[in-house]
Amino acid sequence: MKHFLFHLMPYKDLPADFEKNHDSAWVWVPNDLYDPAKGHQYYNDYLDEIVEAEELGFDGVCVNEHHQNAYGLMPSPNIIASMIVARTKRMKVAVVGNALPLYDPPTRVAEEIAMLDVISGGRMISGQVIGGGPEYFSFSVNPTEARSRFAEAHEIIMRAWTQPGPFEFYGEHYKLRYVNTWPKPIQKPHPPIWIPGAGSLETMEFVAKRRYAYMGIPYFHIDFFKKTYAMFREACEREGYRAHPEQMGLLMPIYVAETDAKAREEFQEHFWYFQKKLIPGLTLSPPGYSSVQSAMRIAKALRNGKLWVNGVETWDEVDEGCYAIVGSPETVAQKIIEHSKDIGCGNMLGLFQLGNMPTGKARENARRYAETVLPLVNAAIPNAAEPPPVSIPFPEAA
Amino acid sequence: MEPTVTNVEVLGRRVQEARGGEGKPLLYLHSAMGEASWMMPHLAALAARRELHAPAHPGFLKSQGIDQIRDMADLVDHYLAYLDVLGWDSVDVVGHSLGGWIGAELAVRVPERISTLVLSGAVGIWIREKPLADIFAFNPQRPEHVAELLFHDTSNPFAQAMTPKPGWEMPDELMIDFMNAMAATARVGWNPLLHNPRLEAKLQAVRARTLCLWGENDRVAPIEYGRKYASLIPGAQLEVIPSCGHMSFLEKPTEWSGAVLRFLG
Repeated sequence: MKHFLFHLMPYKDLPADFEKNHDSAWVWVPNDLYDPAKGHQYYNDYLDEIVEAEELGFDGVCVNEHHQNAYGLMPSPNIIASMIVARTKRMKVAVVGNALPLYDPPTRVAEEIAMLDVISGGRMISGQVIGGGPEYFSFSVNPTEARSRFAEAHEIIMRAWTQPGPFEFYGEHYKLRYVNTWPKPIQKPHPPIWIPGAGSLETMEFVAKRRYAYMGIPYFHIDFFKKTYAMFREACEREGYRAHPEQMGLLMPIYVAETDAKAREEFQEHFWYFQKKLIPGLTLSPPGYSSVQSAMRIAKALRNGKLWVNGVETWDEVDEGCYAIVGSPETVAQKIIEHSKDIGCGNMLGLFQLGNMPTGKARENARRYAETVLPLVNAAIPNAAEPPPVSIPFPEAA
Repeated sequence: MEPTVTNVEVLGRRVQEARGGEGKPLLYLHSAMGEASWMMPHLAALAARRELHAPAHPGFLKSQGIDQIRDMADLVDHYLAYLDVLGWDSVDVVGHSLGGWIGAELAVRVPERISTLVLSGAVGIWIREKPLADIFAFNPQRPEHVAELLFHDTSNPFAQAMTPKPGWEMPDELMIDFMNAMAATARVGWNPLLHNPRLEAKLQAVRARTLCLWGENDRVAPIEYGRKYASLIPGAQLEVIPSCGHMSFLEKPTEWSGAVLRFLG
């Protein structure tokens, strides 16, 4: 099993009555609630939490991109990645991901990830994502073009990294006369590609076809998650191969303490802050953003209150749906092992800092995980002997 | 002609259209709601006096071809081709909201082919001091939001029908139509929001006899939009329906049909 520390960089100081006065922590949440002096402290604490993952023995860290919200304050994850790269030597840095339709031209992503890959000596993982529904409000990008813009932008980036330049790209959305990215990534043929998805079949089929890794978006009931991964594995089988464990990842809030009772007691308030204040608005789904078929599947999961994190009201429901893995080292390890085996995944992505958790607590949590849980999981789930499959290259332009 | 739902082929796209009534042809262009259906009482009222054609725009109901529509200019081209398919040299047009915008664009593009134009709660232009409501930003946490935006009086039965009750699930068929309708509207109206910044300067080209028919308390396209259209289109009149919101044909159906039919003569 590969272990990643996933960070959101949440805003910890929303007022106690926030959810009474605001419908969401996204897009329209007034930015006079943001205090830059506190932000200064948080960014620096968060960077310390992330960088420490290297000496704790994590395989890597994950950062991600969100805009105009209190849930995750990395509008530019590549800026954060550059600081991590400069302060670490060994571990992988996954940007999960850059929201490609928000970059125009998308060669910008090819350039920045290639810079980071060269500087880090080949430690980058390139996550590429359509972007969450709220981002289409925040950037006024037409959501009915989300899928086709993503497909073109992705092709531009992959070809910029792997094909000799300059070449012309002539698409529906992007017409680039001279694509000739300097620098090119140090990893060959290119950094690993991770594609996050919320369960849309189109995304899974695309990932399966190109042999990338699929990272299921969290906060659904574990059963929904397992169904999603079963769909992904089937999509790989239709492509004629068996999904490699490292093509899949389980992303979960994790909290470890000496005993189950202590873990739950210490963790709960941060989970409820996260759930009540930061999550509302995350599922904003602008028109045309998903195919009707996918939108229906997701809308039904959201409508069935108990399949989505915001529908749960008691700790027992959190526990039953596995919206967070919380407990003693043995409990946490046992749950990770059970679910990972069901899913067949070879990446564990843990959110060790959640909601309004103080930085000391988050660091202790990650340390306990690395020292006590990680060895148990690795003993039960050894890394696959074979490397993950090589991606299918795009054909060169005629 | 009995009220029917029929198909027309336009530029290789199948277009679904509600058609019925006798007399001079009348083209009804629907709003983002996709009301090109005989379930709508105001369409029956129009078909009682005229041969009514209410096509569904591409992407709405069973009409195809939304993938080939990138913006309003493409949609206007679609309707120019439609006029040719129906064989109309000129026609009277009634358009509500999004449909009003299409009607105004057509009347600018081919002034000689639109004889009479009724713009009902039309979007399509922009007043910076009074922005159009962002109909895409409905808050799922406040189900009453939709009715508040669309109606003056939210106790109206249609307003109530648009307010989901706890435990109520929209039937799949309706939900699919609704998702498709909003996506097709977003295709042409996401950004700039529901308007064409270059339309206003061209409205002086309109030759149609024009009525701007507005709900007094329209919260999507406020009454200022009616006044602005009426001031920019040569000879246009403004008629205001009191105590009425954006969905004027649902909230005040008798007043709405009366005003439209009086103007059509």
